Amino acid sequence: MSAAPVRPSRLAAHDNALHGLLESLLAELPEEVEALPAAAQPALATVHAPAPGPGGVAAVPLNDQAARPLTAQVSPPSTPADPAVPAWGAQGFRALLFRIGAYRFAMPLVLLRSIAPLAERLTGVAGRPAWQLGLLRYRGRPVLVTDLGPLLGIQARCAAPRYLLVIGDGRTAVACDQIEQAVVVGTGDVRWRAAAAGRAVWLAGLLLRQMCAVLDADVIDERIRHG
Amino acid sequence: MSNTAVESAAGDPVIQLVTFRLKEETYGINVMQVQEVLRVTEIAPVPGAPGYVLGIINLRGNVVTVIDTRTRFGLPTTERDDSSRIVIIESEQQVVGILVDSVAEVVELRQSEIDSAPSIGSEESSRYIQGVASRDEDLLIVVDLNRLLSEEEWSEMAVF
Repeated sequence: MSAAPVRPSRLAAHDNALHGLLESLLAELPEEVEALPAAAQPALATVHAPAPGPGGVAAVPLNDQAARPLTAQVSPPSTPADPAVPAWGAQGFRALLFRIGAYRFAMPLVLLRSIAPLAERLTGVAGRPAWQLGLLRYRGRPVLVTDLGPLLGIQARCAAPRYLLVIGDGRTAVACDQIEQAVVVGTGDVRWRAAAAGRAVWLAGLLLRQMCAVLDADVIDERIRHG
Repeated sequence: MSNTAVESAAGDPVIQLVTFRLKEETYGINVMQVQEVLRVTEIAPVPGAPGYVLGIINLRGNVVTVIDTRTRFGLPTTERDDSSRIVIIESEQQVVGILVDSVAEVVELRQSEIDSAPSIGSEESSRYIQGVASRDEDLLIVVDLNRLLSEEEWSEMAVF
């Protein structure tokens, strides 16, 4: 699951795409949190992403590990914009970095039920909307696999889904092209969404060093369930 | 959907479904709503009919409207071949035929095996999907025929 070499042309496309997405996302965030004190940003510690078993599912008890709060965290910088820090992010968290098309995203491990390689054909239900890629039988029950871009109304498209990020109660999943790594994130490493930021509540914030969106998987799961 | 129990264990009725294929997927409809399965014969087109209506057939003296299921389900149309079948069904409203790629078999499922997957069937375009069930290595998509058309569309169907 290590990152494949990226060609210059793909890098340029990624930069453009990333710039566009972050611009739109940042537009919903307050300007007051622009400058975070450097001293308040602990170094990110990289941990290994779980590898899937052969022909099966990486049955990693993500929640059990990730639910434990990290120690020695730095308090978030106070901002007048009243950032909406979710409970799982209040004392730092671990996040999985993954890619959909040219975009990189981060998802808190505490909200991630499991990671599964997409080895089977998806069952396509006739009349399904574009954001529904299809159904997959996973651990004995159907899981709805979704394309995050059309679901959230952003440009990312999962053209060749290879992995599933199973969320919620295990009946919904987000497809992605590539799993990168898991990182430990301190509260100062995130620009949290403002509480009054409005519509993009699926966006918990931005990882400042990776410059990628942190997704609130619970909100995404809810959106999937309500179409 | 008025599923008919042929057996019941602890309040979990067993239902029988006729399965058919559309594109690459397998769908199931309540066997009690299926009157018969026909090879495709001549279908007389009806001017002014909705796009999902292929036309009418004469079934032993009765005129039966045939629906193009692929079109109705938003799937690309395909040429009819030797596997194509017209399934004559009786919904709550009337008797119609639905053209499918092929008819597979009759399967038995317990009601509890039909899983209402998240969001499936909630969209207007997939409202006739009742749920899905695991069968062997595949998923079987269970269709509620009564929701195949809206009440207005069923009424429209009656004029053909």
